[in-house]
Amino acid sequence: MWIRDALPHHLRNVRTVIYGYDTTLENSQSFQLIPDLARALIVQLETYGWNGPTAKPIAFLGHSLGGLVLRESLVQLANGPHEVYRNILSVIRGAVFFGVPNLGMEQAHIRSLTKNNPNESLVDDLARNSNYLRRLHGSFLASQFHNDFKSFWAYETAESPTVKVSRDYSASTPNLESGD
Amino acid sequence: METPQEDWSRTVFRLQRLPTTVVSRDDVARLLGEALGDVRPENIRVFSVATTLNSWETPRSKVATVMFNSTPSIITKNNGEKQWLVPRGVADAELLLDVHFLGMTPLNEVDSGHHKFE
Repeated sequence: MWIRDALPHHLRNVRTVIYGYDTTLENSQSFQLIPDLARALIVQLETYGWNGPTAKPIAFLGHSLGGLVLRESLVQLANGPHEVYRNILSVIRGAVFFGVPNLGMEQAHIRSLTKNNPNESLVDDLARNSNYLRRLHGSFLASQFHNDFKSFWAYETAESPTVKVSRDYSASTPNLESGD
Repeated sequence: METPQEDWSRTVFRLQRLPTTVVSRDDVARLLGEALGDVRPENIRVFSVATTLNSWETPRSKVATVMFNSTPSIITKNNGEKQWLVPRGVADAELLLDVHFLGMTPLNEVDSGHHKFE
């Protein structure tokens, strides 16, 4: 895990923190959608004091679905009615998005895991050209971020595995698991 | 989703509720080895130790990331759990192991005078 093993040695003034949330697809009873996951992230930022006067500036690294959650969080922070939201946004200096499916992703393999589970709606929102993703893209472009805010986008140029289903139908989701 | 047993040696665990007196990776391995009772400290690989972000704790506990060369029985007896309480033989002093990493986990310690960014 390079953000734990390499990054602190290169950037000695930076504390690295990972944020984990429930992204289990198989047998999941979760009915959280991306806006719910984004609100949960904002609550965590508030809980740990990133709206306070001594908060350090934040640079986010968002991977895959995490990048969409981050993007939705930034939109909510920029457009929310609360002073707290503006305070949190003011300490966020930017984000690097890694392999984020901004335009959606192919669904067939993921559907095989979520069939009839409450979280099928989350997968609907991740479909290519879904209404949700189009709306999020538009909202992000229309949001007012402060002048210091910078976004960087990193993406792969070769195909990578997303979901493997073995013969006994147990599955692994290497791109979506937390704690990778 | 239950992780197959043979995968535990490749699994990274989060270890929370370490006493504030724990400073080094060796401290973490020693304390966890003692608490588990069936894994020697040299079979516990510790990758990070940091102070928790829980500012309401006084003093603040530590959080670590670890892997096991030999899997403790508390994990192999697993029935699909993703976190385990590890008693230390001291009242109110259990350690908490998990693989879900829910919430915020700091991975390194930075001197307050040099701390510029997260």
